[in-house]
Amino acid sequence: MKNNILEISNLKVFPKVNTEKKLVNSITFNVQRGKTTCIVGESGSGKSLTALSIMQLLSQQLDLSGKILFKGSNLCKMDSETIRRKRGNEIAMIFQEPMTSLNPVLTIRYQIEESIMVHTNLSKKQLGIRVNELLNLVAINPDRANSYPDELSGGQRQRVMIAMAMSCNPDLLIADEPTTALDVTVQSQILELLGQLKKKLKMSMLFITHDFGVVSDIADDVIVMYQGKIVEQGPVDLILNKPKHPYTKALLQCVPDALGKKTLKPIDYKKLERAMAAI
Amino acid sequence: MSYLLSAKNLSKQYTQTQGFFSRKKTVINALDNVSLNIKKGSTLAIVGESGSGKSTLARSLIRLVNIDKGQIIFDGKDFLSLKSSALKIMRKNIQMIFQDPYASLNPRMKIQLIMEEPLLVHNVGAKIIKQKIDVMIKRVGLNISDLDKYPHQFSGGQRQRIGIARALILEPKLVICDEPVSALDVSVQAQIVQLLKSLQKEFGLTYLFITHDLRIVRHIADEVVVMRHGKVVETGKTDIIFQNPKTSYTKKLLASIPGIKKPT
Repeated sequence: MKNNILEISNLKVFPKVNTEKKLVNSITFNVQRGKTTCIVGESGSGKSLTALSIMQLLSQQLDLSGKILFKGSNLCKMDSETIRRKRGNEIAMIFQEPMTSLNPVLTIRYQIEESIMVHTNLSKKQLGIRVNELLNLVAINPDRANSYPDELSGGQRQRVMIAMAMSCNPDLLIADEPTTALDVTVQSQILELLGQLKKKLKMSMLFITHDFGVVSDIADDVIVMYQGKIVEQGPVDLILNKPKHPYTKALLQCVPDALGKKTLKPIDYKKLERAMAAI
Repeated sequence: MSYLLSAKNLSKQYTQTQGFFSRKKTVINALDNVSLNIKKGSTLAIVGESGSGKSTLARSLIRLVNIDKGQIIFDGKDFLSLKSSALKIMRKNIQMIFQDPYASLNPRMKIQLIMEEPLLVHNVGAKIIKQKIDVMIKRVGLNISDLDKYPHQFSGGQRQRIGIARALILEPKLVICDEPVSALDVSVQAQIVQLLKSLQKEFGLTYLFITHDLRIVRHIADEVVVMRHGKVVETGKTDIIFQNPKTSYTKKLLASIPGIKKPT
């Protein structure tokens, strides 16, 4: 069990006013140390809620039950101060929209410094050095440090977000659709960068996406979610090549491929429900 | 060969001003001698990264952007010399589907009104309007009862269906699709692509399809134009471009498709 950096068991997320309505319905999975686990699903499948519950950043109107063990300690039982120290330090998160997650009136240097200052006591000079280091790490020229977010392209902004997430060498990085808003060429750069960083810093990654193409590029393990439940999980090769669950099969058929001339098949939800009921 | 639309040597420059009193001026070539032809009933895809000028091209083809130089022939007529009243009639034949189904529908208008507006603008008789809207809303997979709702009551895919219905209600000849599926989930993406394909067959539509996702291109386009920095880099039949790309830029684009394992 030491191999798992994150162990989630029976996680449920529900609105406080209607505890019967399970948005995430009793999911159990592990993230192995140094591995990338991908959560795949459509919008509304509960994948982002799962990520937010790990960070303990769920909306006030939602509540959760179950266990989230991070390096052996239960995140759900911690007080907000302890969680705050872990957040950004041991667990970091990058979001889908680099345009809206950066503060437009602060320079990127200030924003990266801020995330370091919260968790360490570096001197001003050391801070400057560290920011330059981080920008180099994500392949942005440190000369750009005094730029404002609107002076950067979408890909560069996402790199800044990654630099901020890397600032304290997190053990676990949660990436919520980090490339969905980006061009294909920029997407492949960002995916490559994340892969390199993962190796270099021996990080574990929980990667959320709806694109199976991205999954096959980056994942070690895959979790497929549908309507708040995990319908299938396993190593990436197995899931992509020999999917067992009808939903995984249907979802794979929606993905356009550039190689063959496979016809796109939208999910037939009625057929799917019948197939699922038969299991 | 009959082309529905052919554009020759389109150029458009933007001037960017910087510095104190905007004294520093830089010229950006958004379109640099771009030519293209679209055959009737076919789909032409324009591919490129952001900033490559593909959206400027699309906008200039319906004269939402006025170009500096060049010629556009649509359906045998010189499109650029048309005066406003004639332009209005011609525009009926070119409709656009936008990328962002959240931003391109007026949040304070009911779907009924959203669908009605293009018909009213083009003076379609009141009796036919109701009938047309009912037929079209069903054709894109929604219900007549949905006409009484507001855009926020729909999901992203449903909103894109409304956008498609609004574009097609005037029975256009050419539909310009500006990244119509980029903002959608894969499962919804597949639905919308299939819908666009079946509508094309049914109404004999011609599509100009703008996207940065080459996987979608393979599924929908007959021909491809690859753009970079306002210039056309490569053009040709979809299969040929995919199997035998000539320029290094096209090769790079193809290599960045997720899911294609790079040789390491």
